Amino acid sequence: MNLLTALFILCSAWEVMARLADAVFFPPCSACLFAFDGATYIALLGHVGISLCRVFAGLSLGGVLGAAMGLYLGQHPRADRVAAPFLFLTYPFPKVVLIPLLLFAFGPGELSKLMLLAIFSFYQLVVIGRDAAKSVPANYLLAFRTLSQNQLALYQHVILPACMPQLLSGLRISLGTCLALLFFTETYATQQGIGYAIWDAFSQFDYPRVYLASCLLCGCSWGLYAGISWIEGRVLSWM
Amino acid sequence: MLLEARNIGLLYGTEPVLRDLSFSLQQGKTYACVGPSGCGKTSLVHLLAGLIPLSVGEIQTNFTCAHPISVMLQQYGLFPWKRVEENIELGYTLLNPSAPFPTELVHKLGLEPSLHKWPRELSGGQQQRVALARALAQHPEILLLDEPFSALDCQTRESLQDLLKQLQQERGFTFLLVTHDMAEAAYLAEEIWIMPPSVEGVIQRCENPHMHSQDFRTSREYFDMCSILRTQIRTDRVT
Repeated sequence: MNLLTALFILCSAWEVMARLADAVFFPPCSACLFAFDGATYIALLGHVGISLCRVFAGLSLGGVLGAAMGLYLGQHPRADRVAAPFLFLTYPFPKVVLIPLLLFAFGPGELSKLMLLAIFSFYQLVVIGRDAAKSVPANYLLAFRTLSQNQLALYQHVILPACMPQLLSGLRISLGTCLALLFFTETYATQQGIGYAIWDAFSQFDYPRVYLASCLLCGCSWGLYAGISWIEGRVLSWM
Repeated sequence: MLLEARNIGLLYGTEPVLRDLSFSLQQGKTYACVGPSGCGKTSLVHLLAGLIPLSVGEIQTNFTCAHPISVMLQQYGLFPWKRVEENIELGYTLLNPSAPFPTELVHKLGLEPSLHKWPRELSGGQQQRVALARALAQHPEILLLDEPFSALDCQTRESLQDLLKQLQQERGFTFLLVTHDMAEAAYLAEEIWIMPPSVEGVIQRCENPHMHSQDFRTSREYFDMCSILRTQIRTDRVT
């Protein structure tokens, strides 16, 4: 079964169940997805664009820094011995609890939202990168050391490519939680983003718009997931 | 004389692995080092390649190029995320990014059809050819071979031994082959060192003057050399 068939079956099941339930909070698929004017779709797509920018910025900043630090720690036991206790003490801390602190520190604007997503991605990728770098097979490291002693080249040619499967898996896992955090950050101190759009529609009891915006958030998630899969296909074609 | 080691020793912690070894490597000559597992053969290769520091003694060299020693490892040491061509290129681009691709060498090793393949798509023998191409692409003065053919089947092993012998004669590099296979040592090396089973013993040296003769593998001298090596190793074991 391909994706389009599965999507059609899901939408049909939604339509049938909603019509059978006949409840105001559970409108049928056709009333949610196709019942609005062009301006509503354009406005919602604008919100989607802003949310995507926030996710992309947060994931890029935190993910790149986290992966770089993780790869470094994984190959430098002395630095790892210093950093590991701090990492493991702070890693289990639920990042969403940081929102009040981030609001105090960075204000209610974009920066506090970006920092929350970045901090979350950083922790995910630093732990995954560290474990991946520790498990790079010794024969690859030895083979490279017979060619060069350049540490930067070692990361470029051996450690980063060897750890890429785990890093991309980590990115994929982080994505779902990142979107959940994004939704949370867009429910306060902003009038932009798909999280705001869902909450705004809900406060007006506009149920079809709630569903439409939620579907768009799912679409975002699916698109980002597909993007990472595409990158995996390109980068990991050697596997 | 390319390299002279005087009374060298190696300690892992407080445990001696090699003790009081003295030898020299002459330009264009071929050497083999045989001995039982755990006698320090691989440590000797790592030491000469500069992968581990010398604990005792001194090594004097008389090299004329920047990267005089190449190493070919037992487990191929190819990077699975690089195509065959990129694996070979990595051997010399780290030293000299503008160096031309070794087309002639690749042709001699019969690797042209495999240049765009991934290492996983190659047989063990082909992977070892790639490893040999990568090592020789650096134009080394000394090639260190750490049991390079031990994982290969008999036919492939013999064809690669022939190839190595032919390339050595054409290019005139010195090689030191570490192996536990006495027949391989007898076929490829002009001078064979028999490592003692423990660090207290001394290295025995055998000259192998007939190894350049025609059809050496089927000659009486070859079988005599194998017998001499076997007797020598047995004597070592008893004493």
